[in-house]
Amino acid sequence: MNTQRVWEDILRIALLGTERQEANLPALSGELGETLASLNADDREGAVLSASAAVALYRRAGVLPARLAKECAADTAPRASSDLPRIGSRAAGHLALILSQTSREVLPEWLAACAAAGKRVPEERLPALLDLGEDQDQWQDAIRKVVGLRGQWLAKHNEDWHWAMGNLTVDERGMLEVWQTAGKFHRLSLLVLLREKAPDLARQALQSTWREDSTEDRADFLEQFDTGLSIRDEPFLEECLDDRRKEIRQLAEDMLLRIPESRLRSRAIARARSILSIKGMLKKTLEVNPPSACDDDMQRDGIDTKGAAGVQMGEKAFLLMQVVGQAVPSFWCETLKQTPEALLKLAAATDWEASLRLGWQAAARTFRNGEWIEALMDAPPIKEKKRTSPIRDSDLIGRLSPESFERIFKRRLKVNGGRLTMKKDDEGLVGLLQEAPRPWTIGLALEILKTLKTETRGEPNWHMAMAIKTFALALPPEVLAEALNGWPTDGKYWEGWKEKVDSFLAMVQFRHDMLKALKEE
Amino acid sequence: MAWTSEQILALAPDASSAKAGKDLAAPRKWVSFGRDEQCAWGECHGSAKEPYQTRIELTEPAFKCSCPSRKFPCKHSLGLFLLLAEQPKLFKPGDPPPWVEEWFASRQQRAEKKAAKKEAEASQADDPDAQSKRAAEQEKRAAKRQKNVLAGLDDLDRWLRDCIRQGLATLNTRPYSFYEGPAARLVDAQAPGLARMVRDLASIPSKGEGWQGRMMEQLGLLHLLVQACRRLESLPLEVQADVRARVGWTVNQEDLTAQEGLRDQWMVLGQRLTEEERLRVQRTWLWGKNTNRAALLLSFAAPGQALDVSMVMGSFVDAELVFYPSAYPLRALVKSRNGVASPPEKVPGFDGVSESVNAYSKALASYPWLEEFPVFLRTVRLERAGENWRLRDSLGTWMKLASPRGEGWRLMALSGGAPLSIFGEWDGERLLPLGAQAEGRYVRADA
Repeated sequence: MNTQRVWEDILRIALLGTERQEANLPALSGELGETLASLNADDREGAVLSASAAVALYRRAGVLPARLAKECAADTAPRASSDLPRIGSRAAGHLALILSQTSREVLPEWLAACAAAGKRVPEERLPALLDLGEDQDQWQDAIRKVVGLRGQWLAKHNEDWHWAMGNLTVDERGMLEVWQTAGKFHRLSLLVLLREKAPDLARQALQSTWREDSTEDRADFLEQFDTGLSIRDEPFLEECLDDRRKEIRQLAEDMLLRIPESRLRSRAIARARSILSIKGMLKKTLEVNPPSACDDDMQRDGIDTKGAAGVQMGEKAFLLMQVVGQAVPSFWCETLKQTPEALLKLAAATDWEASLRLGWQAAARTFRNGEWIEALMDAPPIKEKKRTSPIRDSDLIGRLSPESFERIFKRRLKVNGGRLTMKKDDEGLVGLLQEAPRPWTIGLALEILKTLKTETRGEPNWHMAMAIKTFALALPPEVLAEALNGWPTDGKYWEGWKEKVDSFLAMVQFRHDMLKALKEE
Repeated sequence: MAWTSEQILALAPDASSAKAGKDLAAPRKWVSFGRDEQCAWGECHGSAKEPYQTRIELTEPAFKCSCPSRKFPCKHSLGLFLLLAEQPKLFKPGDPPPWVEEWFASRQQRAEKKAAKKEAEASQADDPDAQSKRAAEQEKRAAKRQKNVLAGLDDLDRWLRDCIRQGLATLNTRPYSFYEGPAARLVDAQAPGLARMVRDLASIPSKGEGWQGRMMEQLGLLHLLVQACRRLESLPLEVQADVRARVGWTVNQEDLTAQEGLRDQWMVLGQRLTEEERLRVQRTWLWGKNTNRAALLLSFAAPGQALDVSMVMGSFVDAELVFYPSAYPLRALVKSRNGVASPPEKVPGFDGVSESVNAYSKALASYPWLEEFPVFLRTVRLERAGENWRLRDSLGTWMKLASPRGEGWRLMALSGGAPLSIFGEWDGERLLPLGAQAEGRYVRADA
């Protein structure tokens, strides 16, 4: 009888209980058997407990480890010496601190700085970062840049992390094969990488499965084409203009317009050519000649009349807006010999202001024209009351350069008497400032610090108190020294501000230290 | 020694203190600061009118702050300490202000008083009358406890027998109070170690398949302890010590440190924090370079108190340790430290899985109540088998690796597929990894 059977016997007795049965311990040869035999069988419970201790220990101490005959193929990562240098211990400490907190608002900045320094995270942080990227796909690009060869190697071994495998050798056949079989997120990350290195190959891959892919996936894939966009994408994008899904058609339209040599772009300008003209010599006026109808060609290019009622516009006004929206905005300045500011002013004196403004806004966004965005943001509100689709700053700010933003914001600050907020519940310019491109320019930062130091003398403003947290993420750490001093600590309302300002400064200090550590170590 | 920010943050009694301390580690928070050889001090803006006066004795370290916080060390102490570690230039060496001087003097006075008291006791020891009187008192106390414990053992014995008589099959339907009752009676009987073992039984039925076997094994070991304790006198001295420690008798640390210790260069391999009855318990595992044996240091902290952070993972400490008496000595005390040693060319540890498992069997034969056995495996490969992890040595022999908190992937990242050295606690089935050495770096395996 072996010890396994003996153990099972003891366990069976114990499970049922000795009050219902005899405790006949099994016989066994050897020392263990002698021990069991020496137990007093009349003391049923004592004998079962003692036997259990003896047999359990005997088994536990006697376990022999298993052995595998087959040697596993060793799959080793590239040597550390061929990898990116690992960040230093101070930077590693910062990363650990960021990852251990529930709010990881500084992580994107840290990742970007780490990538800029050309370094990788320590091995032991890789799983946490890769898990985070799996959870938050907007961070995948940034994470991919800091995992190094070791991270790419590790990602290969876990299906959830395949998006980080990276390191493509652009081998055409291999790539197309992977594309055919990979899952959606793996394909998305492949596409992002490929569009940077070999945009044509990426397009071929996508076209090879285009018919089978779901419409939702197609839209997600097509969005990645912004990277590496060129005239060679035109035939495919033109095909997409005939797609059944509006989402695909709009993406294709947007991208075609951004390709300088595209046919869509010339068609759009041809349509716009006769719409606006300048009249008068001393007192100039803008004459508007809106398109009268929407033909099939226009419809194919994404212009329609169906949405007019939805935005409470007349059909003509709606068509005008769309035609203006498709024309590259620099076209107007060139043909009409006017600055954007002048054109906006002239448009305000016409009956078509809303159409023109909204059209130019759409064009400024599509073509990412900073000059126009700046002019649009500075322009006074539209006079027309009926208009329902409001022009919001936030639609445009995302496309502004930090320098343009600084110019616009300083102008608005001046209009507002140099103050962000005027009274206790006034939002003032706080909302706009929160949308500023990050980090702020030094000029803007110094201006805002000055303003904050003045306004914290007054009664705490709810909007500002909430926003100051986000300011701490936008302030360039170079102005740390200026940020630390000069607060109105003797002010009447300082007690109400103190805590907010303290955590603001603690965050700026932390960002300053973490960026410094990444640069120096 | 020079303190690092990481070590200082580890002194924090909880996470919010660490965060608050980090935020206070900014010069603008402080009205003044300074330092001399032994102390650092500073005055911090707080919510009170007068700034708080914070002082740190640097070697121990010891803290004192005039703030009303009941946490120890408080955020001001941590902030000042961090500032000293991160921006030492801010601290101009100089004479301490009176409020630091006083504190330092009172600490020294206290130390002197303690020494004087000890001396007085020692001289009393020479006085035969006092000596015999004290010995008699001690004996009386010990006898009373012995009586208490024996009564507790009888109670536990009855409970164990009841379990077996009624059968284990229904134990999973028992409420927590089924275990808490006898455990509480054991605490009253001055046998806290036994009480803890009984409390630990309560969680076994909820831990999945095979719980009956594990329960039976633990009941058997408890029974063994009861039997051993009843005939304590007849056992070898080391086994007596083990049984007494298990039941809950403590060993006088002063007596221990008086003994001669074992000097070696000890590598700090693992640290694990657990909680027992509102006490935080830190287990620190060391491994001697020349003696090639493990040692376990325990540090306890009440809520709000700091744990000992002087042992830095991966470092080598030249120290003399005294082991607690045991048939398989693991737990030890630091008798003296002689600074930090440089790492050797070859790390200590076991060469293979078989060697580790043999050592475990040997340990178990000497000390049947062994729970976690320290294993430091040199150059093993990490493998994934389905959802599980295992370690395989160069001969192909393998052991299971526990990965309750993602340790498997972390070690995989560290290894890069190459062999590495792993330290962990072996429970007879799985190795719970606590640290690993790869490419010349020693890294925590958990978090």
